[in-house]
Amino acid sequence: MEKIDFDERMTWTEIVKKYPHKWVGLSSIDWDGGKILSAVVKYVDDSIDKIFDRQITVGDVEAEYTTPDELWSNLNSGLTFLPSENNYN
Amino acid sequence: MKQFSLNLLENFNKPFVYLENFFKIRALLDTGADFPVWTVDEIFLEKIGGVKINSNISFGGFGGKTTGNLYRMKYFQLGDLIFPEMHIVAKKLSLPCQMILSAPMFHDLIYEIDNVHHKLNIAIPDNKSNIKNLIIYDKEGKMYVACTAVNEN
Repeated sequence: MEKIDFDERMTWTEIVKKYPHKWVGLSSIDWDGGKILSAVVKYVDDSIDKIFDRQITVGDVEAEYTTPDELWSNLNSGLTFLPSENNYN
Repeated sequence: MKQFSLNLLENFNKPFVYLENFFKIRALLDTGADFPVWTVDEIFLEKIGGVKINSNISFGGFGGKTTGNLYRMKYFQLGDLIFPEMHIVAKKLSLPCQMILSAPMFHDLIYEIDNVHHKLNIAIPDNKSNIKNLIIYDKEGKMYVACTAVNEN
């Protein structure tokens, strides 16, 4: 996990451009409803693990993936689609 | 009728709910899912009080079948809804979220995915409690899920 030492506030667009395909640990998030307008990037990593650990134990950052639709398409590729049983009581 | 709303994240093309009052977790609302799923490493579920109660249970999802470990959470909060000791399946997946919310969690509720204002609107009927029990159990080799309000028989 890379720690970003300078406190630079960036827009979400700038964050995605600077850290594509990465998990970022964001602090001081400026929200507009469910939209991240800007934030300070404190950590960057290829995996969510260390950032999320800090999120739930320290609570000073929130983990966000910069290109979420890419993760989704990776998940569905290569799966064998079989009928699933829905045991909903 | 009690009503509340949660923000849907606008960075996504799917309904990801921002759980501001539950560890600021991002959760995918999957109305096709039977069980809630914890999609990051199980160690984090344990860190927030989860206890493993069964291993390698089979469940369907993403068009196929897979296996995961069954946990009992200390509690789960979805806005004004409280799920004490909620059962959840842990299966590490590469998703841009940490949880999947399943259809049975909304049993007896009215919920609306508002993609214009990016809100998940939930209404609790007057005769229903906001405290809900969700359990996942094995009956003759098949997994079942049940969700009832606390004061229901």
